[in-house]
Amino acid sequence: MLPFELIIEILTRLPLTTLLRFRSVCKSWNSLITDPSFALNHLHATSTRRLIFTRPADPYFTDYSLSSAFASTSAAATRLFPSAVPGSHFHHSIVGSCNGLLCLFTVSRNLLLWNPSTGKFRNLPSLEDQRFSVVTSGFGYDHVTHSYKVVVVLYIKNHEFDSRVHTLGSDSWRRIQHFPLSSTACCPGRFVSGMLNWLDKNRFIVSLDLALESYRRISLPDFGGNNTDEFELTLEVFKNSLCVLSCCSHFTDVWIMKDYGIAESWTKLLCVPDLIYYPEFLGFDFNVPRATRAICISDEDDEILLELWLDMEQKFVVYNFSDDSFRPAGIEKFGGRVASEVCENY
Amino acid sequence: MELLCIRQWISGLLPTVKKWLSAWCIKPVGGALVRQEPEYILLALMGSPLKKIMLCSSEKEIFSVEEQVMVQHSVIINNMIEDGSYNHEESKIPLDCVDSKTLKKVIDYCTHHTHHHNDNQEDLEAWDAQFLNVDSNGLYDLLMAANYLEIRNLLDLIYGTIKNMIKGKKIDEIRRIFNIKDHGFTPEEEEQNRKEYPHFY
Repeated sequence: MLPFELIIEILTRLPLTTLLRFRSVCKSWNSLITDPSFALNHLHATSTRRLIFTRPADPYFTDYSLSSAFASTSAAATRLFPSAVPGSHFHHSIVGSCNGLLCLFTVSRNLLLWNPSTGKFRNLPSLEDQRFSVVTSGFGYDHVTHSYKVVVVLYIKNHEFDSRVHTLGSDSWRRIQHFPLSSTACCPGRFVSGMLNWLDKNRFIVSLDLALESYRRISLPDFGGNNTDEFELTLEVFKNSLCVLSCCSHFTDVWIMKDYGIAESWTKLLCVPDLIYYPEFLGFDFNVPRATRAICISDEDDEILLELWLDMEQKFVVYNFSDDSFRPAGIEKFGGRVASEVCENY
Repeated sequence: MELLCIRQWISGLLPTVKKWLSAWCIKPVGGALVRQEPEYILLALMGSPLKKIMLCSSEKEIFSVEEQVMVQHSVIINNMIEDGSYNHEESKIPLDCVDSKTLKKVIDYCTHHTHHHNDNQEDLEAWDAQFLNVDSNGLYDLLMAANYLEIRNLLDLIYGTIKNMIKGKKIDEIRRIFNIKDHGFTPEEEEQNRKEYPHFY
């Protein structure tokens, strides 16, 4: 009746749950919906961004849609995903998220890939070499070979770090170039544009090209002559670009690397002022909250979600950088840590 | 005034005036920005009758419509006029895959949106809603026509309507709507699906 290309257009606009249901309509719709390239197109066309939170010793994840996180009233609906993953009694740490898939590290040093939208998961082959401790890890998508890759860095001995890569679909881990960090990194690698990135304490970025499987260095922005040793630096990914946040006691600067890999393209995106200037956020003891983590930037590009601790309590606030104001976010405090930003996928 | 004289006069205008007119005359065509011929804008300003073009349906019925209206909405028609393959004096644009009833509706949509584009959002949406109050065959014909002529905003409107129409429907209803006679599943697969998700059917 309708030409198939128009059917594709219609299906691409449907919400995820409807699409999953429509796999049962007919065989040709089934093959279309389960086709990976259609899935990626759908992801980019209609994905809603979600935030997934994890909490120590809690096998459940809490998830918020981005719009409810940025809402000014407390979000009524928070869904708890039972992580129906066997053996996952306790806390998992999140290695990374990409295209709606989460890579998790379980307590028993097992890695698995989990799709929160469909609930499906896949165990990865176990890492041998139990004697070496895992220093850091990363998860990303290789555009060249169209495959997902997980990277794990093991501490071998003094100043020697081994990198192992697993390509989804294969059944083993491969050794690649040594991890060139001079000091241990604790955060998982941040994935952007086909590269995984870590921050070295000596003030540069280590970048792993997932296609070439080799490392290189990228320099940090020129912070403008300030004494950068006083700054606390963190790496984040906002708006599909790598960002560096430099926090000092008075403000947090967010720098964005507009063209990946080109150090000259570092631009200061925004500056989050310290909350001391906003008395409504001061606690009863007049303790000043410190912004501990920037989570994400809103779809409308004018607000940033921050996690901060005040009076030993976790609070989420939204800073609007177009009108320079703070307001509470729509996320209740719950004592967990933000895991990652995830898009719906299947 | 004769059309040819006007055109000659305009071509003789200072280049800066022309440039100013060109910069001013950018109109959106279904999402893309397209330059309009400054001559036509000036003609309109001078009160000359707006240029019309002829569209010919599959039933060989001719519809005359303002050029600006179609050029603003349909990428295909805009391209035809831009690259000069359409001769104003002689030809008509044959649209063999669009029947008269549908073509009339498409022209209706484009005309309304051109003339009323300054209306407030609610009025436009209300008009769009009653415009799409057609049966499903009519809707599909509109979709095919909008797709063929590449009218982006009409396409988005129709897709949005279809999405809302089918979102909550059960599988059997979807098969009926899309006229899927043979679902292609083996009897075992079909039974499995029905057993697993009985509320879908």
